[in-house]
Amino acid sequence: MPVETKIDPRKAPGLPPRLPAAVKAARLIIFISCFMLYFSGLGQLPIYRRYNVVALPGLAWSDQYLITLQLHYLFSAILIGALLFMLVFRYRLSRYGLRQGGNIPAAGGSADFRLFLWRGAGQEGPWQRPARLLIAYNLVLLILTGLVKIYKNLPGVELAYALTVTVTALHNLATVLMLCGVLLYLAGKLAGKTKLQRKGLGRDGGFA
Amino acid sequence: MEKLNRRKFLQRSAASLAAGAVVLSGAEKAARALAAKEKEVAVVIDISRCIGCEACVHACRGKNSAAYPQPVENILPYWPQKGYEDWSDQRERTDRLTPYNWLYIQRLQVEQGGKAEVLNIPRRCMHCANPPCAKLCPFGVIEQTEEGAVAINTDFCFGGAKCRDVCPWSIPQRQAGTGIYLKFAPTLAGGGVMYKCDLCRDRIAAGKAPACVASCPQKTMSFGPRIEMLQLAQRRAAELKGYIYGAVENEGTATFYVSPVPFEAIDAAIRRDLGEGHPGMKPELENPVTASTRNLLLSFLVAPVSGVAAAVVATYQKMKGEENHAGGNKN
Repeated sequence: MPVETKIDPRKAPGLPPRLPAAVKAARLIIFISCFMLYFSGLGQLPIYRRYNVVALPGLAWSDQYLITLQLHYLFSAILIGALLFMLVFRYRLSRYGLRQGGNIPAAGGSADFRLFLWRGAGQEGPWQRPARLLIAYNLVLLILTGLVKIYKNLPGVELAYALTVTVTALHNLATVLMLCGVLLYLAGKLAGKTKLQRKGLGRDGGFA
Repeated sequence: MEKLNRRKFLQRSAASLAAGAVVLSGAEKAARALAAKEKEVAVVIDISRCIGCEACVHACRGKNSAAYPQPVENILPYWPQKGYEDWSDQRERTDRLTPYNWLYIQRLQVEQGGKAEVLNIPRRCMHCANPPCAKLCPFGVIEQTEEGAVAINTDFCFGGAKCRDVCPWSIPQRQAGTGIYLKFAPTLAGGGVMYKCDLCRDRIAAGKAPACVASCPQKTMSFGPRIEMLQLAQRRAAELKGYIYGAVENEGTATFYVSPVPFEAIDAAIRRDLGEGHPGMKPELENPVTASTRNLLLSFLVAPVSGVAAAVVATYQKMKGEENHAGGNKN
């Protein structure tokens, strides 16, 4: 029987495990949802008409608050579904991995939620861990405050004014902080790469 | 109509009870939430009695003039747009809503039974039970008081005019060159402050009728608990063989107009004679927030359940696949 000599670099010791296809798909859905949530969420501010976004091809609808509101609802539901998929998938697989003595990193209980992580462990640039924390905590804050806002919008529901103001302010603040986290993460990724990698010659994510 | 109104009232009471129970927790607080609904007030405006004397308009101006905007002299355009909304040189206008005039009389001629009928209709904020302006304000600074008055917090309003865009009657009015946006980046962002009627929230909190109601020599307007006002409007509509506006529109408001003329005809007359910038009276207007999100609420059940189910299936397949694979290697 021929011996397999070729080593999959992603399975080499010290490197994170290969990303399952289902997780790749869920991550893509999460990224698309987040993008659409940012676009539709910013559309809840009266900015797209004022700053002429409506004049861009295909975006004439962007100043219609009720359309962007519908998009915001739709993609927030999709985001919650995809995040729950990631959490349950990782939890079940890590339990299984532990039973099998595998090397899949344990999920749950870790401070950074590791939702966006999986293969990032041990490869972080200098600012990427705080950036990831910033993203994860603010994402959770956005979801919680967003759910309160959806509840508030139901007919017949009147929340206390102070609660409405606080929840809205937290939702807006978390929007800004999460965006800061994304920028910090990207900056960290760029800064973490060697000169060669910046030229595209190194291995992807090679900051170890 | 009565059945529908009562049903809506009960729905709102139940929802409010649930809201109190969920958010505040505790039966005592939930009971307080229900009691708060009993504080809701409303105004009946009997159009058949209004002679258009503007006593209410002037009472409103007298009561609220201290809250009118005092813009800076050098108002900047809404960059990159060229214009801005400035009513400060038209402070005396009483023929429409402006930041300096929160109540006005619509004067209309409507055909009724072959003869021309002259109608005078006092117009201001309807004070919706489910106000889209308050629900969708991006800064959450529009308050619905326990009496049911809808009031803009002008100290924190940035003047984006979203409330006017989502209001079924486009009630709030913008004044540039005033408000909190001047403290940030007035050239780049913000548009001023939005102004509208607050149902004299200070007066009604003190148990008094709004200034417009109190000043009317014709007793066109009546003020009292919402449920009683609804009954009054229904009695008056029956007497006039007329119609009610504001009880079901936009899921109900705190303003019940009673008219001998159908509101379709009034709405058509407003569009024909007054046109742009004047609130219409289209009957049975839907609440834009409810109408646009109603069908999406189910997705907040479907998406999480699907996500979890998909994860269970995917992990099961993966584990099973690995076990089969491991078993094959052993053989």
